[in-house]
Amino acid sequence: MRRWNIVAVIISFSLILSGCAGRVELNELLIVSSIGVDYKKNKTIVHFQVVNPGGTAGGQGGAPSGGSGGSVYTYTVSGETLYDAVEKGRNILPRKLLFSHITSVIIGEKYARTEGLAPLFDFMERNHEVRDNLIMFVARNSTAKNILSIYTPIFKNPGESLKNRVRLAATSTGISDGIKEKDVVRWRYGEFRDPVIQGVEIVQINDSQSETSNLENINANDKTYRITGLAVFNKEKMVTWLNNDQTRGWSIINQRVKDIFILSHKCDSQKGNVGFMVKDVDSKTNVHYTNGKLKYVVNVKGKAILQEVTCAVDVGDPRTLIEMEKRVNEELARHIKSTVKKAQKEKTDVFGLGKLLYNKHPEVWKKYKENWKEEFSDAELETNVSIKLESVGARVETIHEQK
Amino acid sequence: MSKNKPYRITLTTFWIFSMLNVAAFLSNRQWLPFSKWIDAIYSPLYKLMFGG
Amino acid sequence: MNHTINRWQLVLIVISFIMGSSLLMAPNLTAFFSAQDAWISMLFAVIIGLTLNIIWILILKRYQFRSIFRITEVAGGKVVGTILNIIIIFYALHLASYVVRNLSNFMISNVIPESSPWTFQIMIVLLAAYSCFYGLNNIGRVNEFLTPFMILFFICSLALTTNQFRFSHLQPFFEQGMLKISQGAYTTTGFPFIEIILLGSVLTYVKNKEKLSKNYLGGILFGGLALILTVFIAVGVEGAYMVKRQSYPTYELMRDISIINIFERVEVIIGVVWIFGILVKIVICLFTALKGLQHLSKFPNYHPFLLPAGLLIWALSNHMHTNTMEFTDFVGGNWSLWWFTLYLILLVVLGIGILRKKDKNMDQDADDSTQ
Repeated sequence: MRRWNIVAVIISFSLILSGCAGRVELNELLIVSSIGVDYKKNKTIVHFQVVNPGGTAGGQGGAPSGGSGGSVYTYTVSGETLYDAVEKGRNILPRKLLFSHITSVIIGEKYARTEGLAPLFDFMERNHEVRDNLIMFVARNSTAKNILSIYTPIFKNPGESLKNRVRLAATSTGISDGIKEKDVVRWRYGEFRDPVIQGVEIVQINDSQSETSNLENINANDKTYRITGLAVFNKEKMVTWLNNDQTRGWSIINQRVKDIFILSHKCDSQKGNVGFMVKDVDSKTNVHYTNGKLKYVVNVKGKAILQEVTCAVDVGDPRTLIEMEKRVNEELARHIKSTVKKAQKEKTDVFGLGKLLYNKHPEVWKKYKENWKEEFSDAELETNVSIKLESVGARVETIHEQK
Repeated sequence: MSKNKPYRITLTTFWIFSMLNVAAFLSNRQWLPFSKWIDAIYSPLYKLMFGG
Repeated sequence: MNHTINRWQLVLIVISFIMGSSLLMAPNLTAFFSAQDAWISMLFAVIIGLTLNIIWILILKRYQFRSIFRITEVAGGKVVGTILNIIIIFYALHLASYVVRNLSNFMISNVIPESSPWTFQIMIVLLAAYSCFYGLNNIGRVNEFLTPFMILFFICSLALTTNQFRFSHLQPFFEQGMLKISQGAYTTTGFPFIEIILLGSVLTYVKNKEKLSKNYLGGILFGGLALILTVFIAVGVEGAYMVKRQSYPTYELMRDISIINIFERVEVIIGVVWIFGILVKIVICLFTALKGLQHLSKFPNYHPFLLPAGLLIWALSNHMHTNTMEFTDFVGGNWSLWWFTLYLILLVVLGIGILRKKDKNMDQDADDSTQ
């Protein structure tokens, strides 16, 4: 039996110790929180925003004082390709890069317009550390460098701050959880549709944004981002921007909306506005193919909650409410129509309408596939929006009625 | 426990076969390319079934 | 060496064997050919696999579920039986080496690329040999304890991804055409539904054989349904295009789990479930091979064969294929036919045995199931 004891000891040791193969200790790693990509004279400039473990210690919240240095640093490397830059980065980086915790990828607008998306994806997909649900951004009217060289208050990690911003901005953009890398890949290569990516810009440019001392200043507008409309890509190359209303239209068609804010300008021919929060938005797009003509019907359902009235309307009157519902419906229909019009003008199918046709009528799709961009821009669109006004909030009568 | 004849034959043959494979692997030679043989037999059949 | 297991343990072994290594691969293997119709392919594979296994189990029943090595000798005579037994042993070791290779491929490409594949290969083979050393009862009990947890983990993980499920990813149905769908079904029929005929060596150790066939087929059905569900959800969440290009789609699928930003990055759980399934599969293969060798050698136990068998599995798993693509290509093209050949040969030999009424003198023969 003694012999077997020794064997058991050896086996258990090798079982435990084999876990050490290929180990990397935590203090040998540099956690990348965001990647930025810029274009400069045929070179790919890659920025790695890395987390400074000392700087982020002490929990989230508050200015990153104490610790050692800033909470994050941005390294900039240039290379032929993304991976080339990663490898060249090893020459200047103090530790091994860890890609598992990337929250966002930011593409400079120039890069998106000249190089396009294609050079980025293969490395990101193939690498076992990079997750495919990271959020993508295009730096509007600026470079990724600008976006990544800014210290943000409250959140010590700007990448996390940016990620959080997407969710908070959802009531105005409609996109509740960001455009992920895998979405873009699937749209572009798997579903014959043109991708869109959310834009981001710095609200107010300030020279000392990249210094932690800027965080001591109470004025916060110069250290925050704004989530803007969507960047539209024609295949891989970026062509144009959607404005805010069009972005909402896009997200309604694509069922990305949870809650959305609507401000109606018409107020019974008086001056003033009515604001609604539309909840539980559910949209369904159907395609009808009759006599060689394509017609898309977008049906939107949802509940609205009255948030603000700045004119004298009788909120207590059910007829007013029906009138209000109509306004909301018109407003949403306008968003949707303007998006589709814009996309048709650019000949970019950013809604997956081609995929929808393929889903419902594969045999028709086969005919249209070759010339889809033209066919898409000729397709008809109909919108049926029926939002029900569910609640008027905590007060019935508005103060503006007192005259 | 009688070490009978079939036992000795089986064990010896199996050890030889096993060692042959280990040697082929360690010396990185294609002495027993089973997968090549299997492939040679079945890939025409597969082509017949599904074409290419 | 206690080899007896009960029927419940057998069911769980069957489930582990079926789900085992297919869990991570099935979506890719089917979607590669039939894109969004992958789950239909998988459904076909399960139906075909079940049919084949019903025939198989009915034949084994005629021989009173004796050890497969004994049956071949009785049915085909001494010479044919011995040759068949050697073939079965080779198939078992060959399968074990592929499963080992599969594990190390996965670890190297998706989990720890810095590590050496040998680490995983040697560890899993050692573990399997250790398990076999203590007999079938040992793995039966370990499996009985762990499989319910594994199924729970698996179901929970799948359920957590369903919030991203889009029905439109699965449309249009039947668009790929029957050829593509059957091509998708082809690979998954062999792997794992024909491979499971190796359990012919295990069935004889089940204590109460009355409802054995039903339990066996029930296990296959459950495992098959789990695989269909996996394929269905993987394609529904990721889209056919993504699944097609991922080598381990289920693992990638679990990477997307994100519940209120806290419950994230839990994909390794499914990796653990998978590795456990793989261990069971290797143990069963190794056990079959060892039992066959023991039968050939007429020796009271199989301990002398443990070391060479382990070495052989390790060596085979490495020198079979030089790279992972060759491996995948080979498995995709030849695997089902290769296993179907064994199935067919055994079926013919055992069928002829039944026609010649050989199965009736099974009882008089010496019983080897008590060892």
